[in-house]
Amino acid sequence: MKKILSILFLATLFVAGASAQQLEKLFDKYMEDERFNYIYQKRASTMDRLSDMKNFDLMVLDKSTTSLGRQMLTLNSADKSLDESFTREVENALKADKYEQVSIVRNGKNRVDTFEKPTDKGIAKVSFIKNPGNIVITLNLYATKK
Amino acid sequence: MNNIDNLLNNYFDGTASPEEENVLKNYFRSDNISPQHEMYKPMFAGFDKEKQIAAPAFVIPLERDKEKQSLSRKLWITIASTAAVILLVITLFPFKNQSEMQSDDYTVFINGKEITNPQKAQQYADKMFMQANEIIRTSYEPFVEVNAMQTEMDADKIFDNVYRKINYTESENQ
Repeated sequence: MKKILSILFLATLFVAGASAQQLEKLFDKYMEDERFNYIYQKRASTMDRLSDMKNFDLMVLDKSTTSLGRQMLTLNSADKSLDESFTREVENALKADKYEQVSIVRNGKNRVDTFEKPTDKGIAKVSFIKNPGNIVITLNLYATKK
Repeated sequence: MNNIDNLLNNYFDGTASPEEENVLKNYFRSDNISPQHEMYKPMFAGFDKEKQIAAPAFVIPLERDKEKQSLSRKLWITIASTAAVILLVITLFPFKNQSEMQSDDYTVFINGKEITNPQKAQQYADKMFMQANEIIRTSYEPFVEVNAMQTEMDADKIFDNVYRKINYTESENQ
């Protein structure tokens, strides 16, 4: 019985570990796909983070965290079915990784969704931008400073 | 069109000559950009914009004031000028120089093709991250406006002001 329980426990851990990386798997899956553009930056410097944040009222630079890297995947396509299937894949990955939706902003046909989830080292932040013919997903990983 | 594709390949590999880069820049400035090249237009437009950033002119004090300047005032101006120059350098030039940048700092694939030149990869990455953040920032502008309105329409603040005015009027009457 103990053996079964320990196997079940390990299996649960394995499944949890595997599902925690669905979004990153999605980046890996499409990075070399010719329909997509992919960017990975090992570590966003403070200057990069500052230059990205022009509105300090809204996006105050969080000094308690340090960047562990960021990734961006862009789909520029006029193919509506591809847009829809990729959107579904992203949504499923976010759900599997247990991201919490932080905000939704809709402006006409444009939409920006932001998600967050705590990680072992700090926090993961995702922005999902959908414009007609253009989908962008960014993943920023941060570690909490001790 | 094949020529532009070849030039773009050379550009992202870092092997394009200055003449070839100029051909690309002129092409992306023109109105005859092929649809498959539209995605690169913001990047080249961005490079043009960066070139247009001009340093603000320093105000030189008038000649007749020079004699009156105390040592502390001169020192203050020197410190302020130095700080302004440092700020300009930080703003206008990227922090990382060539030797500091590791080749694996950036990984960039455009339409499945890896950009092997680290500088080009960095330029493209920075531009794209900046664009994405600009979209996010713009989408949040209504929130910022509402926040500003809420701050202005703070009931406690309004009542406090009215109360002060009443007190002032009463004290004037007495």
